[in-house]
Amino acid sequence: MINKNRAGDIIKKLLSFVPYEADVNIDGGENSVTRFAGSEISQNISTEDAVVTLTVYDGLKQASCSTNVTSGDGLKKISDDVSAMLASSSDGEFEYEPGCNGEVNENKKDCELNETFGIKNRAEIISRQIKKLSSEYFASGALSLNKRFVSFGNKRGAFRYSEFDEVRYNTVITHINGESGGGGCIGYNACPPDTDAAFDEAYTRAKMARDPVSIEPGQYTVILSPAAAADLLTYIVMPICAKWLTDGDSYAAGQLGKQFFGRGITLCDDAANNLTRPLFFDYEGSPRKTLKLIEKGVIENYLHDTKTARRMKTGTTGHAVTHAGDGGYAMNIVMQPGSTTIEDMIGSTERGLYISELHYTNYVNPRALLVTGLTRNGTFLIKDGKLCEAVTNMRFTQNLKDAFNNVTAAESKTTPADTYYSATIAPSLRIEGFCFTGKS
Amino acid sequence: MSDSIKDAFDYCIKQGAEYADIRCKDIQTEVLDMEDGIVCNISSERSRGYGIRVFIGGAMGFAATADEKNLTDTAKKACEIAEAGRLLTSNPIKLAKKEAVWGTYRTPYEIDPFTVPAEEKIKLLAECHAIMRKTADVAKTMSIMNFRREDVIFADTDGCRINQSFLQSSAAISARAVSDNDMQVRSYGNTLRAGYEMIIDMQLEQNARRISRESVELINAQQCPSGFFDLLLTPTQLQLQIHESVGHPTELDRIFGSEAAFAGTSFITPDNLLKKEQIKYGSEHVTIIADATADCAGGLGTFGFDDEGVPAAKTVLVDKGMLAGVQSSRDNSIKINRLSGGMGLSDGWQNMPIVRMTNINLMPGDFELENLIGGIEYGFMLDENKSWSIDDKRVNFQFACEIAYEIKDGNLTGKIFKDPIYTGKTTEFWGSCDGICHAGLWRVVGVPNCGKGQPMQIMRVAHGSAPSRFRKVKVGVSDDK
Repeated sequence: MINKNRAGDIIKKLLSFVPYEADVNIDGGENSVTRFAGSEISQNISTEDAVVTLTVYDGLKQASCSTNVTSGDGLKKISDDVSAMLASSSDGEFEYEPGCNGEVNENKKDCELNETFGIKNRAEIISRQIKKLSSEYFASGALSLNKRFVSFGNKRGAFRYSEFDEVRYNTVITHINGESGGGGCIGYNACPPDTDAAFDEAYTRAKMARDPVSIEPGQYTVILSPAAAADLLTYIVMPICAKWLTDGDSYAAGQLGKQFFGRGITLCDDAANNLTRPLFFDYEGSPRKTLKLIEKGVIENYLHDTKTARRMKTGTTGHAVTHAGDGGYAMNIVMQPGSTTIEDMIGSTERGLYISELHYTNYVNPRALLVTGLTRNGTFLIKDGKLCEAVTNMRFTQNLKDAFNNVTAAESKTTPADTYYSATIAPSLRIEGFCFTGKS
Repeated sequence: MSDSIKDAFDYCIKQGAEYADIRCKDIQTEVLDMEDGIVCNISSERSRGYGIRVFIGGAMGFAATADEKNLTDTAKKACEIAEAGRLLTSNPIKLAKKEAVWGTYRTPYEIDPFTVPAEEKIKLLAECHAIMRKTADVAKTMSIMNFRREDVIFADTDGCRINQSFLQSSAAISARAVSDNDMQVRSYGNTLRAGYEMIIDMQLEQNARRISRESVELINAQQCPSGFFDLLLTPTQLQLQIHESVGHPTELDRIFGSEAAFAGTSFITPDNLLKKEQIKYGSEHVTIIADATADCAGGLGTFGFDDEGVPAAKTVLVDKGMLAGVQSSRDNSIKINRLSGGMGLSDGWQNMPIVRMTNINLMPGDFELENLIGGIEYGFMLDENKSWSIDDKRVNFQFACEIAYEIKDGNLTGKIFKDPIYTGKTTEFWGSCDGICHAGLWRVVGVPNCGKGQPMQIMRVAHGSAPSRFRKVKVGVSDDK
């Protein structure tokens, strides 16, 4: 893996090759995954890579070249290529603006997760867990260790480097008759995940999932697990990306400072939360601000990179993921907890559904914040305050503005859930009138 | 074979490997992205590396490196990983037999897109933007060109030596119209294994005019009605219908549960296959073939050999409505006592091959488009997908399209509706197909972003189809609320 000194050398060397304003990004590491299916290890892989990206600017022109060939003349080649591309390109919208040069908390790993989640450890963990299963059940899933580093430098003298380990685990435990329960977890160096607890939760759900009944679509009170709640939260946060606003895709257009969701909804993007990915600068080298996104239901901020910020006459929030002006993306979504327990939430629900996981959620219309998706790996009826029989998977088609105006309870505890970029921290939520439009 | 590959294989054999293979992939891409007539991204990327897969004692290990000098160390890591896997491998992984072939393959093309100057590409896209922006009320125009060259060397300890070179070209344009509470988009584009000649043949300018006009008309259009209606689906929607409800459920690794914890499984079970049970998948009009051969020219799933060294093949998945086959690779086809279907593919050097779609094609029928439209009393022709979702067994699906063209009394009325959504269950839906247009209207549409596996692999696949008619499909969700 490229260490801080080597990253600095590569960046200096590349910057010396080009006479332009330039940014260099290096992103890489070692990603190891042990997959299991049918209670056996089925795929076991390890990949090491590092991608160097040189982005150059000349007036309104911009061009970018990436390579993972850093030996020999690999670096010289991308500097020659990017110069040629720059010459043949035409003007873009903005001149170069360096990312904000504010102080960055440089992350250093305080422990090596390789000692707990190395090649042999992963096989042993999975083997130990599978031994807990009775002969009627089998397990599938994946346990991965991603040892990652990210570095940035520019002609103005900025240099950033950060490294972290990320562990992701998910499992589905299935009865020989086909009913299943799921669980998962995600963690970083400061707070490694408890894979055994996730496995036990999946097994409990699998046992509860036997002999499901089929119920009719319609509106139901639902209690979402933290994983299911986190899934929906990402669909609320993505359109807060400024690029979505300028593209006309976002429900949040013209809504800044307005009450949009219920007063119980408070969300921020917080790289300082050590349960989420500890990366304290963005692709443009700007510090990743702790940013209020939604405060008591009011949309407080949009997520920016330098280009969308200039377009909307504001400053970057440190959420760039490219140099192409794709806007800002939240990687550290944290929802403020409520004040109740999951037991009380279920106990006070006369009739409803408990949802363990959602599957294949997608926008039907992002502008209207209408999404669809399905339940998966453990959906249970709640009757008179008690979890009862399992139900078969249901399709929802739900306006999330309505849903997050109908949250009637949030758990006092929050849990990290594995979402696309990183962990999303969410409590269990109770939502009234959740709209199911089909069933499997 | 280079000395470093030979050394890596020698190391694996010494460690007791039954089999090992290596994929060297050198991938170059170029992207040109414009918005509102202005270049917002011009970039290129090169990714080169080596992936080694080794089987020891029935367990598999895979390791990959970007540095050829590390090949023996990478082989060592792959062996260590395989050894660790033996801890939990009571049923040793076996591989179906294959020929030890030496071969080459190259995507046929006329114009290498990497030799076309960026100025020329920008000029073409800028012309499309100018045309689209002439339409009053178009709020935003977008376009992209994307080119990819992939040089692959495959070798294994059985004696296979294969060199392949793939070339992919892609262009897309879109126009967006916006009102206070709505945004409507119309798009046009395709991705094929072809050279720059496919960009020239796409008639981007003519289509720019059409889509910009329709995007503005959609803003003022009514919402598509809800209810049960006859639908005519065009290839730009059928491609995803085929992909999600035929492509994925017929992947044998999903059927055996390998993807249970992530992408899901299938309504088709191992027992269905082992007991050779008859499964009615659709009507007698529906024949679907996985075709990786040169017969499917331009398909993103067209190649000479898969990433396990198995020659490209045709597999009938659905024959006149009956399930007839599945998609497979070497480690799972053996479980149903068959040879690999040649669908073991990886999206790059850093990932191992898993079962991936090639070109999954709905075969043409013999209907004229006018006849299919003429048989609809009231319904819609839906074009271009904009939303998709399907359950983890690939049964319950829901799609949204960009536009619905009204059909009344056997004619297109000229009226359009916005936001059409339709939903259904896989075999019922394909069972409702009562007509497919002839080969003259059949076209291949590329899907360059199919995600599967952990870590996620993004594969490039394609689907051929002609406009097809489906009876009494559930349209819309507003009547469910």
